[in-house]
Parts: sequence; C-alpha cells; structure tokens
Amino acid sequence: MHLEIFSSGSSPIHRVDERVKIAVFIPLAVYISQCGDILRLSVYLTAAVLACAVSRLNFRKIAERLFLLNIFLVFFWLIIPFSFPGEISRGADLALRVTLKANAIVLLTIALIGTVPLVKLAAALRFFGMPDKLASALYFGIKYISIMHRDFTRTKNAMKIRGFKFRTGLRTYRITGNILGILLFKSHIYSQKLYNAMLCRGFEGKFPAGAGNRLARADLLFGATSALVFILLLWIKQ
Amino acid sequence: MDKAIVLKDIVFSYANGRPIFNGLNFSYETGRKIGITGPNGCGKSTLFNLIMGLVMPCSGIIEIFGERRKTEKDFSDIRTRIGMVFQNPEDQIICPNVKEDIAFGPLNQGKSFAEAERTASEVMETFGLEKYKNSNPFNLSGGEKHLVALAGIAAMRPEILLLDEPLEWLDAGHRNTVLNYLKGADSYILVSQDSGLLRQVCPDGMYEIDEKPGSKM
Amino acid sequence: MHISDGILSGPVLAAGTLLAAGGIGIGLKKTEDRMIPRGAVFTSVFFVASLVHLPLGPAGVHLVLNGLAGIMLGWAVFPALFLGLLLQSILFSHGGITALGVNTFNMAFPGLVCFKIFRLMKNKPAGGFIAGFSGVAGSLILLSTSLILTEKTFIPVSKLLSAGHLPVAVIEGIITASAVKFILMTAPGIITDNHAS
Repeated sequence: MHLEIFSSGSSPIHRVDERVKIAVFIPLAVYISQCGDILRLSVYLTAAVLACAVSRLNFRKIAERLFLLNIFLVFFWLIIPFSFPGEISRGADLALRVTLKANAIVLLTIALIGTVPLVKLAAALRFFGMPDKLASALYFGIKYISIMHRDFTRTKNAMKIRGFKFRTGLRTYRITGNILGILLFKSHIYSQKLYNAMLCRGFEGKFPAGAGNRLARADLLFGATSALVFILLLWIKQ
Repeated sequence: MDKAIVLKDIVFSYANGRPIFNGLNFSYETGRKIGITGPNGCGKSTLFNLIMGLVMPCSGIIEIFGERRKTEKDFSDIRTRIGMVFQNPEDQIICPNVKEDIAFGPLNQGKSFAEAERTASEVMETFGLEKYKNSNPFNLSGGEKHLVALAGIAAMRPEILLLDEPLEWLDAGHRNTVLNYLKGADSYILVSQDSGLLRQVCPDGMYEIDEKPGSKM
Repeated sequence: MHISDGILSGPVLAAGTLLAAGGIGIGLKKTEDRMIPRGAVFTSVFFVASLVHLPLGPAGVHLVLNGLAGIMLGWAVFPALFLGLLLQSILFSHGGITALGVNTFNMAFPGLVCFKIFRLMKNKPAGGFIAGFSGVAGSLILLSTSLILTEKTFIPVSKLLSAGHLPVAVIEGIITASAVKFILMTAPGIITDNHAS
C-alpha cells in the first residue's frame, strides 16, 4: 500500500537529515499552536507553504490533505463567530487564528515530517529517546500496514464477488464486525510467526538499526537557519 | 452461442508498474469448459480479477453478458452470475459458521433466510460438508476450507465458474468431490498449471498465456 | 474524532501529553517483549480499519474502534493507539502532531475503561457492544472536555460534534459485538489471554 506520498524526492529539504527536521519541527509546531498574533501566524503559514514548495511536493496531493481539515474549519467558521454574543469580530478573530495555525502546522508537518521515509522516522525517534519497545512496535507496525491492507482488500473482494453490498443497515455493520474479526485473527497468526522469526534470528529487543549517520554540514546549516529565522520572527514584533 | 465474456485490447499493469497485458483479446461463450495455463506471474489470476471487476484495466473494453462493464455498479450485477474461486480459497470465508458462510451468497442474492438455508443444505450435501454444518470454517483443515469456499460459490448457482487452481492442496477424497461437481457444471474457465487436469476436465479448449506481457492467448 | 493542530490551548495540550505519556509508560511496562509483535500488528490492523468507510444515510462515517482496541490490548491500548494516531497524522493529516498526546489519551483511556468493563461482563459479545459504544462515547466526552477547557465558546461546536458522532457510537457497538463474537468463536485465546492487564 503506497501511503508515503511525500517521502521520496530529492529536494533540498528531502536531503536534510531527519533528526534535524524533527528538532526544528517540534518547537516550531508547538510555538505556532500557541501563538496568538495574526500577523506572525500569517508569516509562519507563508513559511510553511514555502517549505512545501522548496520540497517540490505535489500541490494537488497537498490540497487533498488540507481538504478534510478545512471542511472541519468551515463548520468552525459557521459556529464560532456567532458564539460570542454581540461580538462577531472576536469570534471571527478566533476562527481566523485557528485556521491559520491549523493550516500552518499541517503544511509544516508535510514539509518536514512527511518528507521522511517512515522507517527512517522510526529510527530518528529512537535516537531522540523513544523507548526501544515502542520504536520496535512502530517499525513492525509500519511493515505490516501493507500486509493487513492486502488482507482487508481480499476479504472485501471475497464479499463483493458473493454479491454483498455495503449499505446503511444492521447486516452491513454485523458483517463489518466479521471483517474486523478476520483481520484480528490473521494479525494474531502473523504476530506469532513474526515473533518466531525474530527469535530464530536472535532478537534481543533492539530494532530498527539506528540512525547512525553523522550530520552533514548542510544539515547543520538548515538547522541553524531555521533557528535563526524562528528567533528573528520572535523578536520582530517586540 | 452468445459471447458471455469479451475482453478487447486490454492493457493492464500492476500498481508497482509490472506490465501484465498489452492488448489482450479474449472471449468466452457459456456452455464451454475451457482451461488456461501459463507460467507464474503471467496474469492468469489477473484475467479473472478483470472479468469480475476487482481491478480495472488501464485501457480496453470489457463486455460481460452482452453489456459494457466499466464502473463498480456495472460489475455488481454480474458478480453472482459468475462465480469465482480464489487461488487461496481461505481468503473467501467470511462467517465463523459453515452453514452461515455458505448461505452468505444466496442471502446477498435476495433469497429469504429459509430459502438460503435450504440452498446451503443442498450444497453441503453435494460437497459432503453436512457433518461440518455447525463448525467454524476457520478451524477446519486446509482441504475442508477449500470445499467450504467452493460450496459458498456453488450455492449462488452461478452461470459460469472461474476456478483458480481448484484442486491444489486437496487430498484424493476431496479432489473427487470437486471433480464430480465439475462434471455436473456446464460452463467454466479453469486455470491450472496441471496440464493433465486441464486435459481431463476442459474438453472445449486450452489456452496459454505467454510469459511476456502480450496479447497472445 | 481526532482533533487537529491549532485548536487546543497550551495547558490542555500539555496535560494531554503528560497523561498520554503516563499511559504509554504503564502500557509498555505491562507488555512483555514477546507481546510486542502482537501489539505492532494490531496497530496496523487498527490503522487499516480506520480507513473503512461505512455508509450511514447519505454520507458515511469512519470508524474509531478504540473500544475494540481496548478489549484486545488492555493497557497496551495506550502505546498501540499512540502509534496508530502518529501514523494517521503523518500519512493522512488526520489529527495533529501537537495534539497527539491529547488524542491518544482521549481515545486510549476510554479504551482501557472498555477493557475493564468487558472483563466485568465476562467477555461476552454484549460486553462488546457496550465497549464499542462506550469507546466512542467516552472519547467524545473527553474531546468535548478538551475543547471546552480551551475556550468556553467551543461549547456549541463540541455539542455538534458529539451529536453528529452518536450514530457512530451505536454502529461501533454493533460492529464490536460482532467482531467479539467472531473471535470468541474462532480463537477465543486472543481475547482472554490478554497479558497487558
């Protein structure tokens, strides 16, 4: 199942070490989520859009990602401004801030985290202190997504070719429970086989192979530049 | 005899880019029992998936029972009229009870519970599965699972059968059950690498899919 | 059901992150090494299952399945859902990364409660219905709490969200009961030999 639509590429941002990207992303995302200043938020949103552009990511795919988020925000806009009795502009201000924040952070996530192959991400998280058990679970979870999706599709097809149609109704929901039961049953079998395979290869609890590369000068430059821009923007409004 | 299945100029590759068909032409008339063989990966299962609308061709025309089939809706009409048995029939079992699973198809076809149960009972008798009627198919042996899967398809009384290696993993007793069932059927396309089997049960012709993606059949 | 970035306040995000971290810590401690593959593969099942789109009237719904996850995993529901949500956030932008802690807690905690309820009801499918329903209902309550603690004016939004998701709770009750029945008939050990309790 090809889910990682942004992680393969050779743009400058793709080439930055994933640990630097994570180290830049987290403080930035947290800061943006708490920032109240609309002007600054607009700048950050622009920066996030630029980051996506520099990553040479498919614009249409990004739009698809933002779609659901912004549908939800439409509801927000329909309700929030009117929740402030008599002060619609205060409500609109809140809705605008939320819109800017959400879109900025999601775009930033796509540009900095979405451009990292999942397996490397798991390794980087372990570098940053994620417990081994959890990192191993993430690693295997990633590997098994395509297998479970394949099984899910097969079961769905098996139902299709016996004339089953997904409709609103008790029977559909009960049969969906069957599908889940089948998937859980199969996952149980897979996990046993996986564990046995791991034992036979001397598993001692440490997966995946660590992100041992040394940071290149370009990575440090990216990190330093981002930090600088961040600090400058913090300063400007003072 | 009208052509029940017509594939014209089918071009198909897998999502990973592997090309399978490059202008395939294939047709089939009801009432014939034909066989298809070819090396692994040449597209035998893909052919069935295309006919049942489980995958869509990159280009080409598919006509089933005289009508052009393009969308999911087009195919949903044919799915119980053509019965397909997967290469791994275990993937076809849905319910944790043999009788319920066999009745699944007839229920989807709009039969009442009573009719569906009756059909399931008849089919279980054909396949010698009555003693398992309250068993959980997921806990049966491989060969028994295959019979349950085949019974589930047979219960829909399809006009045409598509069978992908139906005798694989079956012991002698189960093989005979399936062969007897095939004797009583009148329209099927059987895919197998066992040319002896094909000669035995496909009197109306044998086709071979080339290993290079192409149109030869 | 997963809240996106940019909506919740700092204190709420921080509290959620701490609570989730605590839950994950406990979940990991209670999960023996040999059960890690099981947890990992379950994570991918729940990830794939969340892609299921079920018809409901004119539109459709996506499943949450935290009740079922709780039944299957016990305390391990915390790390498993955390990883599932992390992947959903990165691969689909469902739910925000900054809100990961809050989302994890909001979904895993009700899941854990469902686990306890299910045990109390002696592992029967009826318990599965209650678990499926309560899982969704519980996370709706926590989601609303998160929104309201952020801004009192979010009350109408949370009311709307909750009302909109109530049918999902019922549907998930049915689905969970059915899934539990299936597993009890096929391999009951998967449910009853839960080691992360």
